Amino acid sequence: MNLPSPLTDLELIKLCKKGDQRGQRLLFEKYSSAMTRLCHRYVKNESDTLEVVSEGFVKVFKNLGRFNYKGEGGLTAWVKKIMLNEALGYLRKRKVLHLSVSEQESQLPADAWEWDRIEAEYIYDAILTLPDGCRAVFNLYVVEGYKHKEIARELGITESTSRSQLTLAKQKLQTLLCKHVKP
Amino acid sequence: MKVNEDHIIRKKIQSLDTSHPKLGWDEDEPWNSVLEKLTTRRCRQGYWYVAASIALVALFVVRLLMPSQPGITYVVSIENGFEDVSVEHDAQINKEAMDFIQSACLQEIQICETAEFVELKKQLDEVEKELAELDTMILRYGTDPSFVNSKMKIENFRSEIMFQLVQVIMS
Repeated sequence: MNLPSPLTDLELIKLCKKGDQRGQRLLFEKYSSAMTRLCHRYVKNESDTLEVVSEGFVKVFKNLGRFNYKGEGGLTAWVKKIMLNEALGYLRKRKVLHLSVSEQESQLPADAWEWDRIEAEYIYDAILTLPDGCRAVFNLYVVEGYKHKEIARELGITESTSRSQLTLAKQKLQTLLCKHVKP
Repeated sequence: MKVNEDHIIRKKIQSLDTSHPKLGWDEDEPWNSVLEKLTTRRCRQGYWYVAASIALVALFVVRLLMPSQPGITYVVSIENGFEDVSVEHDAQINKEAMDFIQSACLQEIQICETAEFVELKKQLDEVEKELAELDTMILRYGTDPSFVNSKMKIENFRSEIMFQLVQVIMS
């Protein structure tokens, strides 16, 4: 997930805790791509993504003093959690998470679909075309690995809405991506 | 869709994490934005520190000057005049100090969650409550000297607690 950095997470944390700007810059560079991708997948709008990403990093630096390093991957998970909260907070503020509950739960084809034969960038771009709430459910379930119960709590929706939105998202993605399946 | 298909999508999306998405920003724009936000917040915090320092210095000057004032005698007219001004001044200083404490804590300064701060804040709340009760008694029974003396002592104690709270925040 991270770009190679000359310093370890622990060294970066120590520098940032001292308020060292070079350390902050290195930490930012290390996580910038992954976190921009993450926020962009939820927020979509480019200038709002910039705002959410920068606000997220400010929170990271501000709260790093309270962060306890417990081993490899800990910092990544913590930074990711902050960014995810920031992106979901943005969506809540914009009230774009009002999902239709009348949506009929439709069935996906029983056959396995050929996701492994599609370029990652195509999938990424297709996710961005999904409606906001639907996209948030898809991202949380498929990419972040949340359960429907957790998604329902996070987005203030019911579990059945989360399920139906996920099915809808996958249907839309399959329709969009079928032309990109590699022979 | 099967679970393993979700896994395939997750892996594909995560494989993109090492490269920036194609966005219409200048490469340095996100970092500049972070820097700008950090600097603005530091300046705002600095402003509160300066304001609190000024308030504290003023508080101590008033406290030092008060006992040595020749006007504090039993000459009612002078005493009343001085007291009105100083009480008003003290109230203003206390308000500024309280504003500073509240704003500092609103900015999520973690020091406000320390045991020392929490204990002092608890004491301050109790003192405020006592002062409010005393004010009610003064209103009901008049300015009895014992009430007024008690009030002055509690007010001094309140100022000391506030001073300690500000010191904790600024430490």
